[in-house]
Amino acid sequence: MIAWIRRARQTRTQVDSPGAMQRERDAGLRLAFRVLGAMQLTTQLLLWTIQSGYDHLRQTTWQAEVFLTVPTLLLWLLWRRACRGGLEGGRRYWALLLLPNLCLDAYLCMLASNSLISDLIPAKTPLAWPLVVTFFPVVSSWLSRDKGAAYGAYTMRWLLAALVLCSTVFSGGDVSLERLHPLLGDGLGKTLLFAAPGMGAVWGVALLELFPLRRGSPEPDRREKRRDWLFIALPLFCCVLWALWLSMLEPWQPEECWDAGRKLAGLNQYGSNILIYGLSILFWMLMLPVSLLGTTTAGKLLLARAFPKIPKGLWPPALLLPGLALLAVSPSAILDGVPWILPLRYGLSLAAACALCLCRPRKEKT
Amino acid sequence: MKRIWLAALILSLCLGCLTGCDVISVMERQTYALCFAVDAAEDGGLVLSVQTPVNGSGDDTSATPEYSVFTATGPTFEDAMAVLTATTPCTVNFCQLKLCVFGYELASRERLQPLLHKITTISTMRPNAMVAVALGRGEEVLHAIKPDFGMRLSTYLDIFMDRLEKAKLLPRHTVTCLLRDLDTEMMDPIIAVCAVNPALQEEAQPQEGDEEQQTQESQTVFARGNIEDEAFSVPGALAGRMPRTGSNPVEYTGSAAIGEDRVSGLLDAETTQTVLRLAKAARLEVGWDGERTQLRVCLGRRTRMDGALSDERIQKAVETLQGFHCDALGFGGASARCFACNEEWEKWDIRQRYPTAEILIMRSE
Repeated sequence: MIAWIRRARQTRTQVDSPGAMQRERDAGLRLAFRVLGAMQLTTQLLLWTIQSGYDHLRQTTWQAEVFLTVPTLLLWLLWRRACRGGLEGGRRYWALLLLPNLCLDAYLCMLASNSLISDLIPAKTPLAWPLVVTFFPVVSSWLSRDKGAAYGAYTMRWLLAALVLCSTVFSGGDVSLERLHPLLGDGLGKTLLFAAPGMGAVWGVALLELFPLRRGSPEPDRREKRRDWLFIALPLFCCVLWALWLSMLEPWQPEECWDAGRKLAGLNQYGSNILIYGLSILFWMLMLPVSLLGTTTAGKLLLARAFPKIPKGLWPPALLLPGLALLAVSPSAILDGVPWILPLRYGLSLAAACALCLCRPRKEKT
Repeated sequence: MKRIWLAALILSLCLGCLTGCDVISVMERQTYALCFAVDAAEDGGLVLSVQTPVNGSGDDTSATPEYSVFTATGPTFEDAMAVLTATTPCTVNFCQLKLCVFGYELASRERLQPLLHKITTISTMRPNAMVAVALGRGEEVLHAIKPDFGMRLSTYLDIFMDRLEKAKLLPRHTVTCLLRDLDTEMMDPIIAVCAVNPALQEEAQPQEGDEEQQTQESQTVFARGNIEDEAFSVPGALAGRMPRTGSNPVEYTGSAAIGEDRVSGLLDAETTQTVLRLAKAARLEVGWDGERTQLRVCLGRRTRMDGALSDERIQKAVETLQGFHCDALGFGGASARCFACNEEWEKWDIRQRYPTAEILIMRSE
């Protein structure tokens, strides 16, 4: 396993000098971090689709995912422009506007993990699973290197993609294409209205551009630019696929509320194959911790750059504590009490990108 | 290297918490429900019944497993479950549930969707448990149910239901699939029926002549070879009325039509087979001209005109379903394809048009 992870660091192209090898390794590391960012984006989109989108949109949930492509692309292009100047000097403080987004993402991942594990293994005390869910990412971030989460996510990319297919296309349920009709559902207007809150889930395109700025300055590579659109397209495609299968398989009961864990595992309760059910649970048990680790990694990166004198090990628990406190006091406080706060993530990401675009990098005096 | 050892130590300590292995005896102090029944109580509440296997003692050399039935009554589902939980010696685990039975009186009076939803919220509930309606009380079925040939009940139910499903004599709806089909007007499900055959429950043995006649009738019904390919044609065959003998008095033949979220009528085995085969073989279309609506059943060239899919049997089956306001074939879904928005489709109202629509059977040349 360790050898397998180490291989992720090796170059795949022919290198003829230590400089070329270092460039290739850096390119591989940037790719690994982008994969981590794409997984975070996928997790947040899936959580919105399953826990909120389908309840309102039913057969047009997949259309909402397609509509979300537009704000996603706009935000991504803005962040590409913003990150050209790197994160040096005063620009690194504008990126801290993303901290509330990271805390909210962490809270949502912890809520989903807590609910899923509680459904599978009833806990003796209410705090048991929230503590476990918080404990693992904190300990992992302390014991691993800064790049550990990225390499781990990169190593698991094909496994997670296969598990998405097992949870949807190969789930074996009695799929009914007629449930996608009438095609427009309650109308385009209503679909757009209920798709708008989903914009909060796509703020994470910022991380696709921020993660490669680990060292502060941008390192453009022409070869990578050709594949950049895949990091947006694949998460959106996964979510469209999941939304289609939700519409074709899952009952729609807007007046009844299943908990988050039941909703996450719901899709695979229609197949007769217990292996597929297990694989779908495995998907969430891998995806949620990876996403949580990505959140702590992103937070550590931004905060360590802004406050280099404070030990980096303090940042992961600091990011997870608000979520843990909410889980302990009232798990669904935000989802029930202030659901409008989740779409604000898009606004904060947009504000940070605009601020970075306007704040030009300081030119070095010659 | 020290980091790896430290990580391994912490993870192994946490494994006990994560896998719930801190208290081993919890796993042993559970009983697994195989069948579950919900009936109406006399005072308007609900009666829940659970059938679980009895753990054999070390001296018990009998090969036949035994089962016990626990019941609980309460004004609501939650209250009845609380009584059941409080009065059973072991925790009831529903992860091995095979059959969920609704009593006929309850299923024909109450809406099934809220009941099914409450059942799915039971922790450990197996979502693939089959749903059936008991002609009578579900509790009686649970008391009478027994496996044949010394099998375990779970194996017996699996094998028998698979066989009847392949022969299209029994619709197989699971708890979650039924919940899904009840949430829209795309189609109305038909669900399996089970009943206790009173003739087999009587203690008095039949006369010799009667026995020979029953045996001959049962041979006539079941000696024709592979029932999966044959058209079933015993008129009026329904669970509880099958002309047969055997040690197991519970029968599972026929189906209950669901209309407006309640049981609205019963279909015998012949009609059930026609409906289930038609659902697989036919392409449905809906046409209308003002208030006049036409339901078209389009069959391919390879569909045989005799047997289960003859024109007479199709006409009779669809008319029966119309009488029960049960759109088991899915004309609702076929009509949804003709509209762009939910509002237009709901305004067209398949439920109002379906019972009086004209039926047209079309076969490709």
